Amino acid sequence: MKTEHFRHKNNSGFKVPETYFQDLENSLMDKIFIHNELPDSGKPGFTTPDKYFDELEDSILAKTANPETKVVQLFKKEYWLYASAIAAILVIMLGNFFPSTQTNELGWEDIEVTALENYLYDSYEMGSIDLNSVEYSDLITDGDLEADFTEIDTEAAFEYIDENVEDPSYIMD
Amino acid sequence: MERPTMSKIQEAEQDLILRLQKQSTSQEAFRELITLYKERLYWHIRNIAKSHDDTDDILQNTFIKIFRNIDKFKGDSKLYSWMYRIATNEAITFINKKARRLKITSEELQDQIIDNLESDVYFEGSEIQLKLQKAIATLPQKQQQVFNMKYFEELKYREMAEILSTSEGALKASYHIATKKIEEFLKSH
Repeated sequence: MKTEHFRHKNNSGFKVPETYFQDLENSLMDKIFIHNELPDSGKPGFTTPDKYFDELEDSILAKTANPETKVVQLFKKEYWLYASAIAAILVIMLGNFFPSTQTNELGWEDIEVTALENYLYDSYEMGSIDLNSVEYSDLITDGDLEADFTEIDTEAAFEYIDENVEDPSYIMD
Repeated sequence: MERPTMSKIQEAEQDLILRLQKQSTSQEAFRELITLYKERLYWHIRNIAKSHDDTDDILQNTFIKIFRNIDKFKGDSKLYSWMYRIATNEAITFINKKARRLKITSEELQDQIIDNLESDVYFEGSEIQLKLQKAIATLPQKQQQVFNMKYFEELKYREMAEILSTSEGALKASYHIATKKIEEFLKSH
């Protein structure tokens, strides 16, 4: 009887997602736990001032029209032109960004730390890098970009620049 | 009000991006963008920052950054995940800076905020909701994000994976661990 039942079930043509039953316990446990313990689940209890959302568009649009905002411009055009010019000379002189020969080897002191910090900060702010991920763990601690850059693992920093910075001239001293 | 579904948002995205990047239509399109996302991003940030005033600052800065950088949006990711990432990073940076100003760690700052929630005029949570906030505060930052996004914001793992650039499997595991830790906290407090 039991065998018949299972055979019928297997021949029904119905399928379940690949990991459905593997995930079912966890999924149900989470739901049961949450709903038993927290009758108001899904609501953190936070509120907003009256009409806050009604007035938000005008408030933000006023700021985009006004140059006086809290947003800090991370990249100064003049700085990059200056840095690029110096770097261009260096790159031409050295041939490669990270040459393997002893005579042309660059040191940590050749890196403009502030520029590197700015580059990372901008990438982080724009969401193109996730500093909390493992690949950046050697470079920055606690996902904090304002960590002391003089304390970072210089080898990891070099590796990062070599692999990730499209135009390394930005961060050459 | 019913929240717009993610698929409807995505359909509108392409048109919005084009209008945002065109000077003659950018302001009107930006207003639409704010209307479309203001509540989702607000609650996303609020779950990180906890205080309304801080959330308002972070939200406004987030939208201003989006507006000023929309030309740099390459379409490698979906617009909503790009915006969520900016909001998340903005919130975390804000908290870290605030903690540094106060010469305390960001964890200590969060503990302070949670301790003061009862007197916050914009917190009307029950005893269990307050306890839940205390439990969330004990989690590592990443697990807090995952828990908030799944439990309060009800995002799908697929959406969370795009926003956090993590696999769905890792997020499921992280959420499971987070709920277990919260369960233990609630039982012992």
